Amino acid sequence: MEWIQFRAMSTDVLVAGQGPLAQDGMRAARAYIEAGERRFSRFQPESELSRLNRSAGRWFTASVEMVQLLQKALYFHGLTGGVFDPSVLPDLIRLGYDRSIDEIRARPGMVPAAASAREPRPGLDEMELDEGSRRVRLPKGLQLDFGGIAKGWIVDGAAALLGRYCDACAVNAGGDMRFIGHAPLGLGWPVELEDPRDASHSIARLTLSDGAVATSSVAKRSWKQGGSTRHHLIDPRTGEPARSEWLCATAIAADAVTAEVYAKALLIGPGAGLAELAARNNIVYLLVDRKGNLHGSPHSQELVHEHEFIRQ
Amino acid sequence: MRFFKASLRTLIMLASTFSFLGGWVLLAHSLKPTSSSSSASSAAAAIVPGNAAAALPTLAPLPGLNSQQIQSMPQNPLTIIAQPQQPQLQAMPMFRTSGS
Repeated sequence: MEWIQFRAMSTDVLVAGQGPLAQDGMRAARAYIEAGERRFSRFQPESELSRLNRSAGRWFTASVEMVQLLQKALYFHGLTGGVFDPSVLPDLIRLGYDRSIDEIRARPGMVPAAASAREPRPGLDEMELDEGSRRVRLPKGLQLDFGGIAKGWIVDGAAALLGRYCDACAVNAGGDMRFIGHAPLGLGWPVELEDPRDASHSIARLTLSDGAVATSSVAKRSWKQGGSTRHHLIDPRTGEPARSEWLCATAIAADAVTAEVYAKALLIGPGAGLAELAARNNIVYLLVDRKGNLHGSPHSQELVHEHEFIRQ
Repeated sequence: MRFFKASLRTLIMLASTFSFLGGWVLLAHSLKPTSSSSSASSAAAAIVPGNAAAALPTLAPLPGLNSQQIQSMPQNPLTIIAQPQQPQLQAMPMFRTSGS
């Protein structure tokens, strides 16, 4: 198996493939990922997402890819009862996440305190989407940040593209992974779950077959604002960083978009309804609490190996 | 008859010897797994601390979520391969999920 690593979407990306055309496939997958970032990044002023946000109040002709992602976002927004909400961009900006996380980390000192309180704004379900003509109109005040769902969508697309060149392949973008085909030697795809309290350790090792895994963590993409620690997982009901009882949530699903949405929703909570929803939709998940204990959905133990990795 | 047996033994010995040598040469010249990235070795090295933790004592099975969170237990659609142990594979990267 061959693989390449590079940085995109403010995270580390690994693309791996097996077969005589793997090199060509990996080049194509990398180009796809970089093109996806240019399309869906809110940090690039000329990205399609930035232009869509600037068009609020007017009709905007979107690409096929944008329409597909908007459809996914609307579907999961409804499915999770609004817990998954890509319209929290004004809250993220108010809380200081107004540039890429790499730039925030490089900025000396703390992010200035929020200048204003949260203001009422339209909800995602007020967005108008004409799929046939690929036109979309955001109501004034609605601003989108796809964040993780775009990353999952790009990972799924890159893996599908790479799969045309390879017998088996994998794409990993900052922990959002998609596996296609049988792993070399038929042993499954090995995935380590990083300890959210100590990145140099793994808390468990999983072995997966064809499918996807994604993790959301309050320990990543965090920053200081006015003496308070902020993170990027916003609870849409409060407009503040989610006060989760979990440090991270990992979801395993058939595709990376679904895994990413469930991981985020399970972390933001509330747990009871989302756990039932995950169970109904055959999503397996793992949660790490603040003491480092690993909790799992029914059947999750079947995929966790090497329990000695678990530390308390 | 004795000559025939001796000839047969010699033939079997020679056939075995050449088969063994032929197999050796074939395997010695077969393609080996390669990585196109120089950073692959560093990716493999990144999991070493995790391996070091393998010396820690085995803990109790995972605690489940409390009963009010879980009402039903449907089957997982993915085929999950259950293995007690897994060897290190140098021919593929280790994937790590941590959130981003």
